[in-house]
Amino acid sequence: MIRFAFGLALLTLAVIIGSFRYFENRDSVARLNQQLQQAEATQLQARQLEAKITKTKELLVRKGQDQLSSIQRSLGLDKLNNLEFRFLSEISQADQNSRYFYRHSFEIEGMVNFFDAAQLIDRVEASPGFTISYVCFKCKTPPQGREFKPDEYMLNLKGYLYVYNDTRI
Amino acid sequence: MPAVTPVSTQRFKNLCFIGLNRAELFPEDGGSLVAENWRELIDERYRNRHLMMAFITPRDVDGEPMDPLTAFIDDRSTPDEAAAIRESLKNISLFDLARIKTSGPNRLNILAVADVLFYWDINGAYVNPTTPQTWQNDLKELTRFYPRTTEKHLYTNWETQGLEESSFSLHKVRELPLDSGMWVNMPTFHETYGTPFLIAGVAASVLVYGTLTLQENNIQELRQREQQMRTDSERLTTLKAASQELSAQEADLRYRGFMSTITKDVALATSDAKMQLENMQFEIVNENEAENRAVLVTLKAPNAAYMDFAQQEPISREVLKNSATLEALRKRPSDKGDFMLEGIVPLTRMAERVKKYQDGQKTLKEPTP
Repeated sequence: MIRFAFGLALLTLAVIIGSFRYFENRDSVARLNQQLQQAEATQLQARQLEAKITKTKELLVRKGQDQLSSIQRSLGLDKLNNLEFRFLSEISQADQNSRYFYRHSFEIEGMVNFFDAAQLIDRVEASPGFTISYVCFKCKTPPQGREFKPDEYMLNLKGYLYVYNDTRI
Repeated sequence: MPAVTPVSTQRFKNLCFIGLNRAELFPEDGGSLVAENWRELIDERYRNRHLMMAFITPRDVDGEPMDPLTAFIDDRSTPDEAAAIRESLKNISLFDLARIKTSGPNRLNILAVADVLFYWDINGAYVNPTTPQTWQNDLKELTRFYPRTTEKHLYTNWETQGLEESSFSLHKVRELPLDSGMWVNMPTFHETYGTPFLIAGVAASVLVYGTLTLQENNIQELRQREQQMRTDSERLTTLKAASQELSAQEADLRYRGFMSTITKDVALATSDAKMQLENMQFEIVNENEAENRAVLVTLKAPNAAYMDFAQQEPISREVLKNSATLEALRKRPSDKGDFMLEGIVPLTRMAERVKKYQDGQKTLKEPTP
C-alpha cells in the first residue's frame, strides 16, 4: 500500500510538475532562441558598422592630433612662412568629449606661388581628416607693408578637418 | 461486495490441495507429491514460485465459511506455532474450496485430490474422504443419487482406468475452475501494482529530472549566449549613434581628393587656352546633397581683357575643350561689363569616371591565364 501510494504520488507529482515545468521551459527556450536570433542579427549589424567605422577612422585624424602646431607641421606650413593656418570654428571641449566624430572648419591664407599652392592642396587632401570646400587664387589683396615675389599671389583655402574621438569609439 | 471473476490456475506454477488428512502437490514440472501435512511438501523452492494452495474450511454454525486460518491452525497450536504458520502462508495464494460458486442446474463437478472427493452442485459444496484405492467406488456411490442426465465433470490427475468414462467429462486438476471469491488472500490492486507504480514513479521522476535538467542547462547556455550578445547589442547602440554622426560627414569624405585634380586641371586648361585671369575660385556647392554635389569654378578675367562676344566665345570654348573635368561653362551675367566664366564639375560623375578608370587599370593588372 505504501509502495503504491508513494509510487502514485511520485508519478503524479512527476507528471504534473514535470509537464508544467517542461512547457514553461519550452516556452523559455523558444523565447530565448528568438532573442538570440535578434541578438545575432544585432551582432552582425554591429560588426558591419564597426568594420565601416574602422575603415572610416583611417581617413580621419585622432582626437588630440587636431592641434595647430601638429597640423602646421604635417601640412608643411612651417616651411611656407607666408601661409597661415587658422581654425574658423570653435568646438567646445564638452562637445569634443561627448561626440564620436566632430569637425573643425579651417582656413589657410597667404601669399604663395602656383606650384607651392598646388602642392599644398595635394598635401591637404592627402592628409587624414582634411577636406577642401573652397579654393581661391588671387581673390584677396596681399597684406600691406611686405615684399613678395612677382609670381606669388594670395591663396585662400577653406575646408574641414574631421576628427574621431578614440576614447568613445 | 466485489464482483467474482474467474481465476485461471495457469497463473500458478505449483498447485497444492489440502484434503482432510492429506495434502497433494502438483509441481510445475509434472507429477504429484503426497504427504500427511502440507508443511512437509512446501519448502522455500515452491513458496516463492507462484504457489496456489486450495483447502476446505469447515462451515460455521450459521453455514458461512469460517476464518480460513482455522484450516491451518487448530486449537492445540501455541501462539508461536500459529505465528510461524501465518508467516509461512504469507506468499502463498490461498483458495478456500468451501467458498466455490454452486454449479449450474443439472451439473455435478467433482475434484478428486488429496484423498478427498470434493464435489459441488446447484445446492452447495461437499467433501467426502476417500483413498486412491477406493475412490472410484466412492465416486460411483456418490453419483448414484444424481439423475442419469446430470452432467458430471471430474477434475483429477489420478488414474481413471476402470472408470466408466463415458458418464464423466474428465479434466485435469489444472483445469479446475477457480474464482476470485475463493481466493481468501487475493492481493488488492494496491498490492498487485504497488511495486510497478513505485518503479514507474521513480522512473518518471528520474526522467522528468533528467529532461528538466537538460532543458535548464540549455536555457542557461542560451542565457549566457544572449547575455554575451546583449553586450554587442549595447555596443551597437554606440556604433549606431557614431554612424549617424558619421553619415552626416560621409558625403564630404566621399569626394575627398578631387579638389586638387580639379584645380590643376582647370589651371592647365586656362593656361593652354591662354586665358588671362584676374582670379580663380573653386567652391563646393550643394554641400548637403550627396548626389548633386559639385564644384563650381569661377574664372574672372581682368577688366577689358575680353570685351565682346568675338573674344569671349572662343576663349570659353578653348577652356572647356582643354579641361578634363569641366562639364559645362557659361558666362556669368554681369552689369559691370566684367567677363566671368562659371564652370561646373559634378562630383558624382567624376567619381564614376575615376572608378571606371580604376577598374580598367585593375583589369589590365590582372595576370593573363
